[in-house]
Amino acid sequence: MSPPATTPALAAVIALSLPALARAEGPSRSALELRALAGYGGMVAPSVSHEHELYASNGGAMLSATLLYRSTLPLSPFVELGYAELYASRERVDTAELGALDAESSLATVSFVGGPALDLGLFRVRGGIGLYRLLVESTVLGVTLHTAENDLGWFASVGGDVYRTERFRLGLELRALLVSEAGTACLGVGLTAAGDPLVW
Amino acid sequence: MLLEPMRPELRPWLVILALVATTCGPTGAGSRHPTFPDGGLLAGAAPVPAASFGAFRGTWTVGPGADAFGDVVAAGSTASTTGGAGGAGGAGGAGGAGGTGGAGGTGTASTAGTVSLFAARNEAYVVLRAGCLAGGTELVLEGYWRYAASSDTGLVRLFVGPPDAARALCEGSAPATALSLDGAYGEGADLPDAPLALAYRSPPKEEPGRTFHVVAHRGGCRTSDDCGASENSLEVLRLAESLGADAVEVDVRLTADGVPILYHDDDFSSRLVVGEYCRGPVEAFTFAHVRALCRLRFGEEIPTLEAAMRTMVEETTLRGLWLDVKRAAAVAPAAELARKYMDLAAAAGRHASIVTGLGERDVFDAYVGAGLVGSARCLTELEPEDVHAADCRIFAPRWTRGPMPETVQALQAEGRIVAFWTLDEMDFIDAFLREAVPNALLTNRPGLVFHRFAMLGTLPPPAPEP
Repeated sequence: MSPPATTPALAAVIALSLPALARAEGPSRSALELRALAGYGGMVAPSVSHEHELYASNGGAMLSATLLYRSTLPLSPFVELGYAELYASRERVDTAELGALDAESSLATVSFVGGPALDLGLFRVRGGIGLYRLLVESTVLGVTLHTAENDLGWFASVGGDVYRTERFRLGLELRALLVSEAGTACLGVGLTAAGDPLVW
Repeated sequence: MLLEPMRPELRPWLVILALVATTCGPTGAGSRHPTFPDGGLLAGAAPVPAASFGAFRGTWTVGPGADAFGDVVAAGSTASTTGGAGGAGGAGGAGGAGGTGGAGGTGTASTAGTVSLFAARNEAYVVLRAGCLAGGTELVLEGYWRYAASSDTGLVRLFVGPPDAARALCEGSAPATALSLDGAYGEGADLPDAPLALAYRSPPKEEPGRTFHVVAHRGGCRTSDDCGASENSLEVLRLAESLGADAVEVDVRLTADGVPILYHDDDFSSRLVVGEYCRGPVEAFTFAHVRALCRLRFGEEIPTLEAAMRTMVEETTLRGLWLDVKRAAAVAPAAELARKYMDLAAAAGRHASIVTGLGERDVFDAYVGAGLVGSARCLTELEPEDVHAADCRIFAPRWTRGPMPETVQALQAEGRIVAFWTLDEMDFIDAFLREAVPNALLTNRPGLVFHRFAMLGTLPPPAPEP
């Protein structure tokens, strides 16, 4: 029987993680953890019409605040409130009825997600599901539109601490957002700061 | 480099990022119908006279190919004359011996016509274009087949027989012998190789003043059914007749600055539109925002109601347009446009009924309150009493209320029309055709309703056009 197929990339992840896993110490106490992230993210293949773009900026600030309950169990539930600037552009569209229209637009999202987190040595892997509110602002012919759409979406992240004390940690996190109802995907990276305001 | 100061343990993040990136991405568009390479035989074919398309209308017995399309299919046709008036689509064809070969066309050469076949099995439909070959001695039909309830599709090529009938049709005269169709169909984009043969069976059920209407939902088909165009688009209006409809229902909303547009849902969302900024309540968008930010799912513009009416009147032979008005504020502008385009159609010698649909009580009240009773044509989905209160020519109850044969007969006796919505399942379609004998059915499966009426429907009593 041949061994199960493993991609070289996955093998690399496992190999590089083993030393960290070996050094890892499991949590010994329960705690409420607060973690803040500030970073940068952008959309994967935005469905805007690039042919009309005069200017475009994919991505922007990504911020979040996470509340996580950590215990001696391997999985830790969390909830997270997030904000991400997704896309901004200026487009010129030729229309039959109104001639050439310039549209200055931006898209952002506010999210509220929840799910489990798994600590693997220095790393933390999180997955979640929640509500994404996509916020649109667009100005055309001097009229500014503010509108929004609520969608179901998914969240996944891999993070880890690069500096750690007993009650405070600094780290990095990579995250992916998938607003499945809207077909919108986003990747981001950010710095995290975490503390344990309550330990027992 | 950002990562240079990082500890070695952080390097796997790069690999993880690459893995995550490969799993994310936007959803894709739906499937499209296949086409023959280089235009197929039609690329070098001569146009078929518009008057000849009516000869295909009726029912056909299927020989080889019955496993895919059933034993009997019903055929319809359209023949828009380029730059001319009227088409042959609505006229009674008779492909049988001694038939009239259709009527109503101008005889102007046209390649814009279609012949469509509709089946109950697999809810299949076939849309074919026609061309004359070999100096007008052969007539070929090429196009695609599709199962309405799935994404299965493929190419079809049929030759019209016998040769003297094909020659007659290419000359624009009535064939003296019964028509037959011989050829093949294929899977996907593969060239047709499975035998398909049909023999003309019977002419369509048509009598002067007595008409059954197949009304296609959302302009012709829903976006989710992927018939080749987005719902409520100009493109699907142009397709609707080839899908089996002779009238269509469209959804009317107002933009923030009062422009009537076609759109079904309360909100713009990725279900029906593309454009990252095209999200949220339709009424929040100005028309300029709609134009600048939004496209329908398959790339079409969201049409104005006026453009839809113009397309219906000028580019199709559709006989009816049902305006499903979604907001009370849209009633008066919709009725005004309906009047304008019915007048324009009449001036062009073209019959086109455009009726304002009053589906909700607030919309009904707005219609009555605007003083439109008696001055516009309306349809109500509410109660039979409301038909009289607003003097609507059409009562359109939801199918869940049952066939209501007594109500139907009473309204038909007053010269009114009864149209049930929205019937897509064959068993229910059959039951309503048999028990209610309605004037029209609204459906997402116009081809199936076309077929079922051809097989077991009864023409309703005479009624004036709505």
